[in-house]
Formats: sequence, C-alpha cells, structure tokens
Amino acid sequence: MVSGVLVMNTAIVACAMAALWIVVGGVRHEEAVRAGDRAAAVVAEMVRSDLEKSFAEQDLAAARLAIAKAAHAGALAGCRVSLGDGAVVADLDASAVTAKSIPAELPPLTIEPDSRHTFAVDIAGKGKVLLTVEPAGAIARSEWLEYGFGGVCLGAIILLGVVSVRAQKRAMPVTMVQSALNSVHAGEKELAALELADSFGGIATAWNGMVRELATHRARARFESVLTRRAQPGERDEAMGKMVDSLWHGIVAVDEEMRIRYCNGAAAVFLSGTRDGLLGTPLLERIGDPQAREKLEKLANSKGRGKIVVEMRTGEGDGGAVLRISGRPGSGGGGAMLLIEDVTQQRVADRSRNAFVEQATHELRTPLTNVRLYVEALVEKPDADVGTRSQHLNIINQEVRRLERIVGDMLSVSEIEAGTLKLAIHDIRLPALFSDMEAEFAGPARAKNITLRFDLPPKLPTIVGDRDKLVLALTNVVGNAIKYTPEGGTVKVAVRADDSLVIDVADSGIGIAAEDADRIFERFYRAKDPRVEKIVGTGLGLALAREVMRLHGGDVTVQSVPDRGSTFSIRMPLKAPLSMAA
Amino acid sequence: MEIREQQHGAVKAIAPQGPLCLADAAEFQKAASGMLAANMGRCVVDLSATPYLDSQGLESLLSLTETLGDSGQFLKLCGVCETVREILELTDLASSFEQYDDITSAVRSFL
Repeated sequence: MVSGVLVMNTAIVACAMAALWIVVGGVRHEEAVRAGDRAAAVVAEMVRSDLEKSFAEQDLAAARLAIAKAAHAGALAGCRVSLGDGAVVADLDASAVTAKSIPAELPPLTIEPDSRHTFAVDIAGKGKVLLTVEPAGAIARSEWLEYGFGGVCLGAIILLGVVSVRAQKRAMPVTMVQSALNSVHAGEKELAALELADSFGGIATAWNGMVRELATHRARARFESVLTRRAQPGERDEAMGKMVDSLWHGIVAVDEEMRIRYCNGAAAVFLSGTRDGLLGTPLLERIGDPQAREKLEKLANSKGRGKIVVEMRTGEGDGGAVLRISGRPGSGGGGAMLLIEDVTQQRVADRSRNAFVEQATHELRTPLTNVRLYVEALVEKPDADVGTRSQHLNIINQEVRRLERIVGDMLSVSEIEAGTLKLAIHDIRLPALFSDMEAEFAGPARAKNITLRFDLPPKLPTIVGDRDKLVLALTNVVGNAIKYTPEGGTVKVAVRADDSLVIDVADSGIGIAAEDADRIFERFYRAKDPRVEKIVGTGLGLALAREVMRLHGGDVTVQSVPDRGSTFSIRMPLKAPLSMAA
Repeated sequence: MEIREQQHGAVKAIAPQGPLCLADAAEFQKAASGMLAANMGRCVVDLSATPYLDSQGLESLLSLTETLGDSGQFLKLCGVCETVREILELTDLASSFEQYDDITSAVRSFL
C-alpha cells in the first residue's frame, strides 16, 4: 500500500512538472522564433549587397565569407545560398556545398521565398539566388527539448530520491519487525531483544505492545507450569510419585480452598475420576455425603490442628463402597493431606459379625431357658411321677441337642469366618454317600408322610472333596426341604454328573418369596413368612451349606415359586481345584 | 462362554467356566473389567473351573492386573490349577498377580 501511494505521488509530481515545462517551453519557443525571424531579416539585408558583389565578380569565396560573417553577426544556426535549381553555392556547413562555381546565367528560382527564412537576392543582370537562414532559435528549440527532458529526468530522479528516502523512513519499522521475526525464527527467546524504538512510529508501538503482551502471557504460563509442577510430581519426584502410586490407599493433597493439588491412582478410582482430570477441581464436588462434606470443609479452615476421620457411602447396591477419609491440615497452614481407604468389606464383615453375635445370643438363650426351666421343675418336685420326670428329661435332652447343634454350626461358621476352616480332602464314593442319606432321611420323611425320592444316574463318578462337610451341606439342604414341606408332600433329589456334579433338591413346600430368595443364605436369616417362624431353625444351615460348597469350588442356588415349592441346586466341579488337593 | 458371579459380602467373585482361549478370553476380559470398574476393584477371579489358558487368556489377565496396577492393586486369583500355575511361572508372570488357595482366603484379603 505504501509503495502504491509513493508511485501515485511520483506520477502526480511528474505530470505537474511536464505540464509546467510545456507551458514555459511554449512561451520561450515563441519568443525565440520571433527573435530568430528578426535576426534572419537583418542578416538577409546585411548579406544581400555582399552577395551581389561576389556574384558579379564570380567570387565564390567572397560569397562564402560574406555568409559566414553574416551568420556570425546574426548568431544564426545556419545560412545557405542556393540557386534556382537547388545547387548550393555557399553554406556555413562546407560539406553541404554542391556548386563548384557560380554559373554565368543563374537559373530561375523554383522555390518562392517566404521572406521569413528564405529570401530572394537579386543579382544585377544575372537573376536571383535563394538565401536561406536558420535562426539560432530553431536550433535552441531542440536543445531546449533535450535540456527539458534532462530537467524532467533530473527532477524525477530527485523526486524519486526524496520519495524513496521518505518511503525508506516509513518502511524502517516494517524492516525492523521483519528482522525481529527472523530472529524469533532463528531461535531468539528473549522478548526484550525484539522490541523496537518507539520513535519508529505507530507500527513500532503496536509491535512493542504485542511483544509485551506475549511476554506477559509467557510469564503467566511459566507461573502456572511452576504451580502444576508443584502440584504434580516433577521429574525429580518421579520415583517418589511412582511409589505413592503403588499404594492401594488413596492419597490426596488439597490447597487451602480444597482444590485437588495431587492425587494418586487409587484416589482417582475412589473419587471416580482420572488423575489429570481431578487436578485443580474442588474435592468437595466429589463428596456426595453431606455430613462428610461438612466435616471436610472444616478441615480446610482448621489451621494446622486436628485430624478428622469421616466415612461415607458411594454408589448403590453391590457396586457401592464405604470409603474412610482421614485428613490432617497441612503444617504450613494452607491445604490438607487426605488418605482414602476402601473399608467396604470391613464394614460388611462388622455388620455380619454383629448380627451373628446378636442372633447367636438369642438362639442360645431359648434352649438354655428351656433347660433351666425343666431342671428347676425337676429340682423343685423331686417326688414327681416317673412319666413327668421322663418327659422333662426328654425335653432337656432335646434342648441340649439343639444347643449342641447350634454351637456346632456356629463353630463351623466362625471357622469359615476366621478362614481356618480347612477341607479334609478324600475320594468320595457318591453311591454310598447317597444311600446313607436316603437311610438317614427315610424316618423323618415317613413321619411327615412325605414321599422322598432319590433319582440317581446308573453310574456316578468318584469325586474329590471333604466327605463330612459335603454331608453337612447336603443334610442341611435336604433336611430343610423335608422341614418346610407340609405333610403328604414330595421331596425329590436328582443327581446329574457331566462337567460338574449337580444335585437338585426339589420340594413341594411353602416356597420362598422373591425378596427372601437372595437373603436365605445369610447367617441367621429366616424368612418373614409366619409358616416359617413356627418351624424351629437357626438360620445357619443354608449359610453353612453355601460356604462349604463354595470352598469346594461350587455353589448353592435356589429357584422357588411361593406355595408351589423350591428347588435348591448344589453344584460342584468334578475336577477339584489344586487348593483342595493339597 | 459362561462366567459365573458370586457375591461374597462386598467382594465379587468372577469364575470363567472353561479354558480362557481366543474369543472367550476377550469376552472374559470385557466382563471382568466392567465388574472391576463397578466394584472399585473389589473382585476376585476364581480360576477353579479354568483348566488352562492360551496367550490371549494370559493377556486378558495381564491387562486386568495392569488396569488395577494404576490404583496400586494386583488382580487376585484363586483356585489356580497346576497347569495355569505352571504357565504363570514359566512366563514369569506369577508375581503380577495375588494368588490365593480358595475363594474364602481371597475374599478375606480385602479385610
């Protein structure tokens, strides 16, 4: 754009000069022509007599001398004497002379003299010759033209020079900006070195503004990167960071506004985010429990004193977790350090243990109370008849057996709970095991008029497992089926052996409501059905059966339709896992 | 492939029923990684019904333990049969997993 303006300026100035030259030149030319004309007339008058004389005397040299003198006197550019036939007799330029001598008879003039530059000179008795003069003005015109052009060129050059100097002055900041950009390209990092002197004008000021803004941005970015480095483990702290990452407990560092400055991998999982995504975000946004949030808010303001421990639940159902967050304010007075632990399984175990103790106390108290009451009755009435005594003793015996069974079950459960229940692995011959069971349950089934049927395949494999524990599991499941099937019902035990051993125990009993189906395997859990509450039971049998089968690598599951009956499936793999064979 | 699930308190046991090979391995990995994410890593892989595994099965187990490794945990295996145990030892990968004899011990390790 700058160069366009320059060219236009130059063109305008050049045009103006050319116009001026034309006007001035025209005036000067007119004056020169008029002066030339006057000089020509004077010269013609001066030379006329000399020519008459030299022609009369046939003296060519005298004629030439005469015109030379006249031309000199009149400052003529040219002077020529020619005959009517065009032959040049004398001329200022000797080379232009064509006539060698003056003829005796002059030929008549073919050119009519205009009395301005050409004059007819009458030679007495001989005729007329043509005198042609060229005033100096005509020659001056061509010189003047050359000078004019030269002047114009000089003017244009000067103008161009001026314009160029001005353009260079104007383009200086642009050049400086270009060289600054080249420096940046070459790797110049120091922004102060790229600034231009403000005296270069608007462009330099704008450029300097941009450079300073960039410097501000760089400084801010450097500041933030330092902050981030402080928040994240840098290269120097990488080894330490990796060690902290290998912790299964979550570690979180927060600033005074409870924004996360650092968190390890476990913490990211507990806070349902990614490590990078969590940095800089407020921790409290991740805490769903209002009570936990309230306590953690106090942590940020407690100025270096006091450790807090909060527990909170996250998620729903099986995927839910109980997280324990321990926090201590930073010693410097800003921020805090938090440790997050997943204590879900501990809480489940605590709850289960508490329920166990509560139920066990209750279960133990009932038979003990009965025993105490009947023993007291016997003590108080030593003379009671034999029938009453034997009835009381029978009841005491039953209750003691019940106590024994409960204690036995509880021991097994606590062994499982403590992880000390070990399987004594032997080969088990299934046909013998089932025939023993058939014999054992024939009596109770007959007593309730229940049809008990064992459907066994013709050939059963020999399996590997703990016979006593398997019998315990099977007895509990089949015993339950007989116990909860009304009189006249059916209990069917079907055995299949393909990839794994599957024992289906189907009854036509009272069935299990859908809401109870998942819970009947919990320890001491008994369905809320009033028909169940009438039947004596500890609520430990199915829990034990499931634990035993799970130890064998199998499981116990149930499918049931209320009032129609239930089918318990006991499954165990035929190839025993290595842990059992050991 | 059939993958059995058992809930032991707050811990989920995942038991692939059969060898971990080819497409089954990918299916198992997908199911298991979903469960690990949903349970915050409280999962045990019960291999008592897995008689052997191929390279893809091994890769699926490694991928799971690596994911858990980001939060400082290892994949917990239980009921590992002799063949699978040998494979893990020969490939020098046994130390990449926590191994337990039975499901109860594995579940107790979360206490």
